[in-house]
Amino acid sequence: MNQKNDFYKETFTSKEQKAILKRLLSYLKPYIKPLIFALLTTIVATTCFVIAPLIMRWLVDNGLTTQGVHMDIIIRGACLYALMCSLYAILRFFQLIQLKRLGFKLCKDLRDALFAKLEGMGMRYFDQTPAGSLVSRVTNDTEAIQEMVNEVLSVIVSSIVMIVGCVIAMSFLEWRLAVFCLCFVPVAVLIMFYYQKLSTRYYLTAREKLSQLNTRLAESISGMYIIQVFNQEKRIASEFAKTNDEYYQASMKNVRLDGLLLAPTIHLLIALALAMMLTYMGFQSFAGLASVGMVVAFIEYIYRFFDPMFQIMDRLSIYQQAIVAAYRIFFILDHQEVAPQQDAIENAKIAEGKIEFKNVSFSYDGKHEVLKDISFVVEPGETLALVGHTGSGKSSIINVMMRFYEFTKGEILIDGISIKEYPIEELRKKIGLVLQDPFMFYGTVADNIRLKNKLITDTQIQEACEFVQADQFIDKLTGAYNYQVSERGASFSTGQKQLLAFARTIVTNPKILILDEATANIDTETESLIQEGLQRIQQGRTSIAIAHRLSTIKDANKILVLDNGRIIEAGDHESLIAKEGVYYAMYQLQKSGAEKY
Amino acid sequence: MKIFMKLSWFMKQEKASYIWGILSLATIAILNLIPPMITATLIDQMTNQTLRVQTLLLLVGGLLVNAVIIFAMRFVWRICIFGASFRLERLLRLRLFEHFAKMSASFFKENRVGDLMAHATNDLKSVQRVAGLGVLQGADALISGVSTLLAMIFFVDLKLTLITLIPMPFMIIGAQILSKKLHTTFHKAQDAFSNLNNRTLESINGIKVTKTFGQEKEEVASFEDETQDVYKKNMAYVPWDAGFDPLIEIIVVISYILLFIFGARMIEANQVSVGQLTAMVSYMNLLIWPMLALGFLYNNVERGNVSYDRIQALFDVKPEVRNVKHAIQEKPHGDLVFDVTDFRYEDSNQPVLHDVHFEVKPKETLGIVGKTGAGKTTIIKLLLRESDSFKGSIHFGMHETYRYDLGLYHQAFGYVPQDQFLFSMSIADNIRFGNIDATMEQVKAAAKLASVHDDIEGFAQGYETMVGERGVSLSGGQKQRIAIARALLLDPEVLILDDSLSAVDAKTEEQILASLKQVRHNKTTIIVAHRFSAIKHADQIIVMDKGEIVERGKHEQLAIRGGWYAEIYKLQETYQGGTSHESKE
Repeated sequence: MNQKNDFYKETFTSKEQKAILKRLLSYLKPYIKPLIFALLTTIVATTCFVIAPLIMRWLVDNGLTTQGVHMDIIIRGACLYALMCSLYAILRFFQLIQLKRLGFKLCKDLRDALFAKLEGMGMRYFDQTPAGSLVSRVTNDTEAIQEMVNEVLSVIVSSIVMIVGCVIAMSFLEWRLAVFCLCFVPVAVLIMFYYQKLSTRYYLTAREKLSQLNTRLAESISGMYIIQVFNQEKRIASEFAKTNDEYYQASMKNVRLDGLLLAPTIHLLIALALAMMLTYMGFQSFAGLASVGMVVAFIEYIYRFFDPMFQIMDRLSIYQQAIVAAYRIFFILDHQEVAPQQDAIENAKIAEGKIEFKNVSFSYDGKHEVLKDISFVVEPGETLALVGHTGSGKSSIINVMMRFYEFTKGEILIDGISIKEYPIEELRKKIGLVLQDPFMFYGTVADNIRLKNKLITDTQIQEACEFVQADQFIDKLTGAYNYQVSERGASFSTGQKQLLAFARTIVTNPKILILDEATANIDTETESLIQEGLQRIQQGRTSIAIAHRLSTIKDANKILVLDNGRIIEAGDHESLIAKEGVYYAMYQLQKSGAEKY
Repeated sequence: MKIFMKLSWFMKQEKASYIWGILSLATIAILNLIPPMITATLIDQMTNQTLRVQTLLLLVGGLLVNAVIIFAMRFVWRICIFGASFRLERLLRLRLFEHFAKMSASFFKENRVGDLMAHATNDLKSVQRVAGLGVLQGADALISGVSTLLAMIFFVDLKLTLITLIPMPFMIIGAQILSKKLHTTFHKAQDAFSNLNNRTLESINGIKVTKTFGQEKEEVASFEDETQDVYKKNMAYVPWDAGFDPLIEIIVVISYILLFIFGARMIEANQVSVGQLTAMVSYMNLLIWPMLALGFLYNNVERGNVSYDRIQALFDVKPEVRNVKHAIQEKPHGDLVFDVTDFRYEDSNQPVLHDVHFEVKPKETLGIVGKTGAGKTTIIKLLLRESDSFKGSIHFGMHETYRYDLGLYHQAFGYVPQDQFLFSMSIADNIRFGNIDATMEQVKAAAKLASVHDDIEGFAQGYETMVGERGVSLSGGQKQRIAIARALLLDPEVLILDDSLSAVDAKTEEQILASLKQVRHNKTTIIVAHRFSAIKHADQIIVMDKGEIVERGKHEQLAIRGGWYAEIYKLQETYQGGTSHESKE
């Protein structure tokens, strides 16, 4: 839980921020050349922009003298000025594109890295982390970082160059005025500091409120029928109104803060600096020392000097957001919950399919053991049925067998070799799992059977479907195997999905079959198809099944009755019935369940 | 500009804000014209050596006072105009919500959650932008544009003004082209982004399948293709985005050249002064924003208009089920008499229910079974008044259902839907959803009846455990039982379980049915089920097929009649046990 709280952390000390930023910038290493190129472009562009007012001064002072107007100087000056500004504009264009490219590249790299990391995580991680939040990390947080590189990096570099350049140019013209202008820097920094502090807080609140608002709205829309049937429209609406109002208040705080500290303040500072400069120049003129060109140039410099400050302040929230985002991304990248590791012997192959559990214990959380000292053997071609109540450990046996989780004690052997010593590819190829709730991907029916394995041909797919008798309903679909599966296979019944899952597994022709039989909502017609399918796919394969169907159980070579993580009874159907123990009781309850009503 | 007409009702309502806001903008526009004049005067007096200390201090003082007033006005318009626009957003959002709350099931069938959310977020934002930024851009462009032009003409010179303005139309056109291009390319980038979003969600949800088939590498490779696509589409809009600044810069520079060359000529001819020329430079800078604003305004207004129409279209939808005039103001109770001769959904001519007749007395339990799509849930929907437009009649107590006040009518029901929908709040709040004032004792009692109390106590935070994204992930069976507790807490006249025991194992199902029997002994209970074990004890069972009742009776009778019921019962007896295991969701 503690870790989770950490994950949603939103404020960081400057030391933490620095560390995060440093690590983030390290991702730019592969792009060091284009980065340097972009920065050089920025420096050249900004220099052009800083030089332009000097030309203006020269033009005014030499072209528009009290003695008369020198058109040649004016034209030359104007062209030179235009050249500088155009150079600035064009270079800036390329610099922007270059930096954006970097930002998008970085964003792609982070996304790929995150996704690869996620694919390698153990199942436990996905049990604990809601999918929505992971998607946010992969898409939105990386976007926030990209925005920072695009917006902040270029602005910071160009702002620094601009401010330094302006100071140099100004001191070249009139060092006293440059010193005056420098006096504004601490003031601006102070304002920036306060603005950053407040705006971060307001910004985060507003964002938080907006996300609350949208979550509420989405949830209320999906659950509107519940709200209506339970007559809670008024209450839910008034709660919504409250959050809505809180969001408004938070937005207004932002508006007020921006209104006070952002653009208007910078404009005020500019006015102050102008007033100072004019006063100084006025007094200089009494001594006959001022020049009009100087005034004109200084006006331009003052704008160029203060504008970067505004640009930086305007983007502080982006930076803040990126730090939060980067923190979360690194949190995932640093996560240790990797999938169980193999200690593979090369070329180890599963030939027979004999499965042996030797004193296997397993725990999800490290505290409560859900499997305790489990031992059993399944001979090649045999079927083992697991029965027991919810939480008895049936699914856990499958989970450790599939290497979704690492077991804590004991050994699992396949054909006499530890399951850890097979290359993971071999295990995946030879062990087929049929999930209870078969997940359907976006794509065609064929895509959903082939998955990403391009070696599987269309004929193989058709054969697999015929084998499990899924072809009957597939042929009726428009486009048959090319039928587009809608969102999560919503247009299929659970039974149909189950048949597709059989086909998906059978097409890879596994040696060992693990079955988590579906229970819910299968209409009884499809049910008999599934029964047949089940029997067909189990032929010639070793299988372990979490069994809900009496037929599976009866035909199994061996039945394990689990309770609380232990095997309490084992044997075949007849022997267990004869024993008149737990299995017998369960069987009676199932068989004739509610006949007593 | 139609959008401003459409929003006029709101602007009237917020008259004060908009008037003050626009007045402030106008003041700023005019005050902004003063500094260049002051500078020009100073420069001219400096060149002519006529400057005196008093004039200097006076002018500089004026400059400062001017700046402070502008500062204040800038604050005022922001509060007024942006404030009003946020109030519009707040108002429309709440109205949308209240509107959704009135809508019938058919509305939510036609409009998917994602689309409705898009209206409530993106469209609302576009409208807010028009009412804030749009007004600002429109008013400011007009006021400061015109006033700056006037200052140029009257303070400097008409001819010079016209010459300087020659390149400006190119800026407006250019900005408009760029923002249009930007809009379309950016749209594509956003589509790619939303694809990526869906794709990522799917991969994460399907991680078990990927792992089972050992396809992690292939997944990563195909994900990289997807991110590459996003990268490409992003890069496609970049040039248009990056083009704005250079465009402005270059157009302004052209103006500068014209200004200097022609300005110098006019200085030579003594038509303008050096100071006036510098003022002209400043004024030109002041004109850039209005020009750009006009370019942006166009797109803003266009988008806002479309968005507003979309929102309005939602508001125009009338709820399908409404209170009739003089609706009966009492909570219904008594017998349910269902007598529907024909019901079909709007978009189909196939009846979903045909000649369905049954009666349920209080303290009776009705079981409904049948294949998927046989009409079971439709019966429930009509009972819950998701639609009132059917042929025939449904009586609840003394009156037909449609005559009751909808709110009061619903108070008679406790409903457990098929999909186990829970809200992201604590488990306790979920259970007392229908009656937020219920005590903890009542909540626990309901949970015990639904056999979920022990599960809840097992969580670290017990009843305060949060459900949803940041909370605990509940199994399907736990969700179903919490939903049952939620309905039971109300002790309703009619309790409806719509296939609500499917993810619960046999033992628990039996427990729940037993407690139902106990607490519902004098109330109506309706149970829809796939597994017959859930309805065996019912006083009456109806078997639905293709919208009609094909069999009815008690379990004992149906089981030996040799119809569909008997056949399926036999199948279920052989195939389906009760060791139903709860799937982790």
